[in-house]
Amino acid sequence: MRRFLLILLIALLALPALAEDAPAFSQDALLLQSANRALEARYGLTPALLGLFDVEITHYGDVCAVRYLPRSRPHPRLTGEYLVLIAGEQVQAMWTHDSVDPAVWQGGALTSPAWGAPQLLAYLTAGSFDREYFDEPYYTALPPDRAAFPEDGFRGIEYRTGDLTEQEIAAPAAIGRAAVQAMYGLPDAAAAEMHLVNVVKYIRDDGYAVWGVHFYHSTEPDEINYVVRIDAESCEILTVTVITGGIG
Amino acid sequence: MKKLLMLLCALLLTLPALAESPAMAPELAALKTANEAIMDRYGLTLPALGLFDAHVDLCGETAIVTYRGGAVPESLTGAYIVIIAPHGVQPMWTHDGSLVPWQSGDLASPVWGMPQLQTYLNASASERYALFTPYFPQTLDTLDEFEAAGGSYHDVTSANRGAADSARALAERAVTALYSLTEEQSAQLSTYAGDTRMVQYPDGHREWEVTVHLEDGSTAETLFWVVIHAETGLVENIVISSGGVG
Repeated sequence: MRRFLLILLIALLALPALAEDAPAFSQDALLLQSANRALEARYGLTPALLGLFDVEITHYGDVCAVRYLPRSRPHPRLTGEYLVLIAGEQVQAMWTHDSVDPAVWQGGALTSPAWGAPQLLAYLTAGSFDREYFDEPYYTALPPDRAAFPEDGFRGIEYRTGDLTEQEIAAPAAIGRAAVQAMYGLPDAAAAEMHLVNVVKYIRDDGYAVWGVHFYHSTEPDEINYVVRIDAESCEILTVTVITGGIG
Repeated sequence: MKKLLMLLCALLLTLPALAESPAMAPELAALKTANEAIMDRYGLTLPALGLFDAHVDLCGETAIVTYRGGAVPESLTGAYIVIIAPHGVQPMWTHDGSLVPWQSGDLASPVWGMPQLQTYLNASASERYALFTPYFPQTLDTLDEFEAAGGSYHDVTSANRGAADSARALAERAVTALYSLTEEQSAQLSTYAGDTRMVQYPDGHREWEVTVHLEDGSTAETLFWVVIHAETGLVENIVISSGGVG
C-alpha cells in the first residue's frame, strides 16, 4: 500500500513539469541536436539515417565530441564513422570517408566504397527482410581491409610452435623492433632488451598476409608488451600496440 | 618474390638512416603524433599509454585519436582525445577543467591522472586486484545488482497512467523539437503504454523511458528512445534507431 501511495505521489508531482508545452532539454540533448543538424547540413543525414548509428557523447573540458558509430549493418567499412566536434559556437562535422571524392558516392551507386546518405536511404527502403544481405555484394567486393585485422578467414603459422624458421622470421622481427623503437623513441639499449616472444604469419584465403610480432620488455616495476602488425608484402607497419597493467 | 621483398626490407633496415624511419601506415603516424602530444601535455609515460585502448580515425586531412580506458575503469582514468588537423595538434582529456584534486596521487580521488596510474603500474600484477579494485566505482551491470542496490522498474498502471500519458506526450514533442520534424512527420509519431516505463534508480531519482515510433511511409520505422526526468520533466536523452533486420 505504501509503495502504491508513493508511486501515486510521484506521478502527481511529476505531472505539472511534464505538462508544460516546450520541452526542456539536457545539455547533452542540445549538443546532440547541434551535431545532428551539422551532419544533416554537411552530409544530408536525415533522422532516419542517423538512426543507423550508435551515438556517443564525450566531454573534453570545453570541447564536446559526438561520435556516430556504425552498427554491423550496413557494413562499417561502407558507412564509415561520423564525428562532430563542438566548442562553444563552433561546430565541425567530419566523416572517415572525407578523403573520398563526394562525386563517387553522391550519385547513389551502391558500388561506391563510401556509403553516404543516398546509399543509406536505399538500404533503409529495402525493408527489414531484404536488408540482411543487402550490403554483402558491396562490402565483400572492397579491397582487403588491412586495419580490420584479425578477421575471419585468417590462419596463423607460428614461430613459437616451430612452424616458422629463424630465417623466415628474421626480417619481420627486425622491422618490428625498429617500429617499436621509432614509435616510442626508445634508446638503442632499451630496444635491444626487448625479448622476442613470438612471430605469427597470418594468411588470408585470398593470399593477403600480415606478420604479427610480439615483444616483451622486462622493466621496473613491470613488464611492457608490444605487438606489431606488418603487411607481409609491402612491409608497411600497420599497427604498433603497447600493453601494460595486467592483473594476476 | 615475397621472400625477396622481405629480404630487401630487412637489408634496408640495416642502413642507419632508414632504420629510424620505418614505413608507417598513416594511422600509425597519427598515433605517434598523438602519443607524443598527450605524453607532453599530461605527463603520461609509455607504460601508462599501455593502459588505454587507442583508436585512430582519419577524416580527410584531420586525424582523431581517442584513448579509452582499458585496464583501469574509464570512469576514473577518463578518456583522452587528440585532434590532428593541418593547423595544429590539440590533446584533450575528459577530466580537463575538473575541480577534483587528483595531482596529489590520492587513490580515493574520482579522477585518476598520471600519479595514480604510476601507483597502479608500480604494483605487481598479482597485487593489483586486491590493492585497487576497492577504489574502482561499483557498477550495476545486471538486473539483480540493480535491484539489490534499490533500483526498480515500473510499468504503466492505473496508479501512474496520468503521469505516463504526460510523459508520452512530452516525448513526442521532444522528438519533434530535437529532430525538427515537419508537422506531417510529427502527426505520424506514436507511443504506447506498453513501451513506457518508469525507472527508479538506487540514488532515488526517477526517469520515464518512452519509445516513440515514427512511421512516415517513405522509409522503415524509426524509433526514438526518450528519457525524461520524472520530477523535473527535463528531457535527458534521446536515442534514435532505424534499419532493423529481419
